Amino acid sequence: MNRRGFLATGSVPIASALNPLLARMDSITIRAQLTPSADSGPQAVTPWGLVSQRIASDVRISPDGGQVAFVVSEIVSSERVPPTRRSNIWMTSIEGSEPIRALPATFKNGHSPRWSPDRKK
Amino acid sequence: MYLFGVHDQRTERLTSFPGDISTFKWSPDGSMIAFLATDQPTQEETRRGTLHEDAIPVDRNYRCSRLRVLTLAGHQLRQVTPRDKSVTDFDWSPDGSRFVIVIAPTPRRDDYFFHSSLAVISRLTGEEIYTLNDRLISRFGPAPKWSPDGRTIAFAVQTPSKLTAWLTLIPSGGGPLRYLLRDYQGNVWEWEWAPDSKRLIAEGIEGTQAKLLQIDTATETFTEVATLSAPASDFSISRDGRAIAFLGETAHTPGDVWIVQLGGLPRRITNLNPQFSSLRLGEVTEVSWKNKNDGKTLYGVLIKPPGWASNRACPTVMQIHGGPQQAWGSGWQGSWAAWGQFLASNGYAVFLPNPRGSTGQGWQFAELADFGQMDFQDVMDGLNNLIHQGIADPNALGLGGWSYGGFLTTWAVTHTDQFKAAVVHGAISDVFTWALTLDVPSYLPLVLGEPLGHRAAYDQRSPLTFLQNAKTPMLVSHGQNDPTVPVDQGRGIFQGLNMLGVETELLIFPREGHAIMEPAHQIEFLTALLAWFRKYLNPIP
Repeated sequence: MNRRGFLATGSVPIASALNPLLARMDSITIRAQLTPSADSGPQAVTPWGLVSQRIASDVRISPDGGQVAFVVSEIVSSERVPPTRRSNIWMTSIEGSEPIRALPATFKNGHSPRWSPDRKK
Repeated sequence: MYLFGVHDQRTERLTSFPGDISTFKWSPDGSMIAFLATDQPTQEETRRGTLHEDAIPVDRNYRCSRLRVLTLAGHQLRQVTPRDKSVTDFDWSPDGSRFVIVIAPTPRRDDYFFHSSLAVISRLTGEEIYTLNDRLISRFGPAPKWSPDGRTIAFAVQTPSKLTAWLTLIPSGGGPLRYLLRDYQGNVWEWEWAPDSKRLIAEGIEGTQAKLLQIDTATETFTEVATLSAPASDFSISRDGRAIAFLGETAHTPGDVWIVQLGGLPRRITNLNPQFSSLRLGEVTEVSWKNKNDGKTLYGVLIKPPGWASNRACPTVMQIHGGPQQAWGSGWQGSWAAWGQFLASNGYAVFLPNPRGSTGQGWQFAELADFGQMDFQDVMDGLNNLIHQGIADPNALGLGGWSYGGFLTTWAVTHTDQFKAAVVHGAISDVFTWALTLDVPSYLPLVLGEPLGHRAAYDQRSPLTFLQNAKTPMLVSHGQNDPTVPVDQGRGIFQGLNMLGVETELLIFPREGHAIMEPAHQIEFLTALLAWFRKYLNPIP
C-alpha cells in the first residue's frame, strides 16, 4: 500500500439511507439561493447571504507541495429542518485546479485532514 | 478517525472510540497516530444519569483529556498519560520515542489558561522525563513544536502579567530558555519549524495586516515572507520548506486557500464564495490616529459604504471587538460577529478600532486592557478623527460589539449621549458579579486586582453603576447558556433601561453559549441588528 497518498481525518459517517432528508440537500440549492438575479444590479448583503457563506479552515499542504487538503463548511437547509453547517474535506492542486470534495457522500461531517509523512522526499 | 486513500478513494476506519477525539498527529515514521480524547462515563455514572441523579458537582469529578497512541499495524491502542492529568496539546519527538505535552491539573478553563505547564514524556511509559517548573506555558500563544532535528522545542511562555506570550526556545532535554521576538511590534499567532530546524515560519498581525515571517533562531532576527490578509492563523509548510499554504482572504472575499513560495508573491488558488463579487461591498482601509491624552498611536479599519460621495458625512457605526486581546484586520469583515461589510453594504460607514489591549502592536500593548478608561478614550478619539475628516456624521453615530466590545459599548452609552443606537451581544455590564461568575476566575484579578474587599473599585468600572445616564436606544442580545458572560449581565442592561424608559429590546438565544452558533439564530440576530440601526440612523441611499 502506498502510504504517501493517505490522509487521516476526523469524521462522522452516516448511512444516507437512514437519513433521506440529508441526501436531498446539497450545495446546488444553496448556490441558487446565493446568486442574485443577473439583471438587477448589485444587491446589498443580506443576513442569509452572510450566514450562508462557505467557511474554509485547516489548510494542509501535502508533503510534496503538490496538493492542498482543507475543510469547507457549508449550510444545508430545507423547509422542514433548521439550517445546519456541514463540513467536508476538499482537495485541490496548488495550480488551482477545480477543488473536489474528497470524502464520499456517506460521511456527514469531515474535518482535521492530516497528510501521512513521506519519508521518500 | 478514518484513513482515506487519496488515489484509490478507499476509506478505512481507525478507531471506534466512544467519544470525541480532539487533536491528532501522525508519528514521524507514519506507523502510529497519537490523539487526545476524554474518558467516557463509567457504568455507574451512566446508571445514575438514567435515574436523573445528575446533580453537577462543580469543579469535581473531572474527566481529563488523555494522550493515546494508536499503532496502525494491528490497530493497537494505548493510553500514555494518566486519568488525573489534563493534556491539551502535544507534539512528537522526531524519533517517535517522546512527546512534548501541555498539561494542566484539571480540565477547567481556568487551569487551561493560567496553570498549564510543559513536560516531555516517554511514549512507551508516559513517564515524565523533563518538566519545566520555573515558567508556565501561555495558552495565548501557539502549541509547542519539536524541531525536526530533535534538539529544540518552540513554545509560548507567559509574560510576567500572564496575559500575553513570548515565543521561547528550550533544549528538548531541558535547559536555559531563549526568548525570541520580544521587540516585535506585532503579535504572533502561530509558528512551525522550517525543515532545516534553523528557522521558524510564523504568522502574526502588525497593525491590521497579517504577516508571514521567517525567524532565524541563531541570530534571533526575522524577515517578512509576505503581507497577507488572514482571518485566523492557519498555514502549513511543504516538506522542502519552500511552499506555504495558508487561509487567506481579501477585503471582498472570505477565506480561501492561498499559496506562497518563499521569495514569491501570495496567490489565491480557490474561489469558494464567488457570489460576493456581484454584491455591493464597501472599500476597506487601515486608519491610524493618536490618543489625545497620552499620544499613543492606534490602528483600526474603516469601511466606506459603496456609493459614498466624499463631500457628505456618513452615518457611521463603530464596532468594538471582543477579547480585548484580538484585533480587527483589514481583510474580509463579514460574519455574524463581524458586521463591517454587512452594514457598509446597507449604507453605513463602519469604524473598527483596535484600542489598547488589542493584538497588533506587540506584547506590551496587548497587556494594556483597561475596561472603560484609556481604551474608551482610544476608540472615541478614533471616531472623532473620522468626524474631523468629514467621513463620520456626528449626528448619526451608532455603535456595538460582542463580549468586551459589548462592555465598551455599554460603557460608552453610560458616559456620552453622542450615539443614536447601540447593539450588544454577550455584553459584560457589572464587572464585580462577572469576576465571581465567569468560567475563568483568574483572568479579571490580573487586570483589575482582587474583587473581594475591593467592590467599590470594581463598581467604578461597571457600566451598570452609571446606567441612569443612558439615553441611547439599545438592542441587547445574549446566549441563554453563556458560561463566559452569564445571561444576567445582559438582562441587567435591559431591565435597567426599561426602568429608565430608554428604548430597548432583549433577545435571548436558547441553546447558545458565548457565541451564536446556530445559523437560524445568526440570521435572526443580524436581521434584528440591521433593523435596529435603520430605525435610528438613516443609511445613505
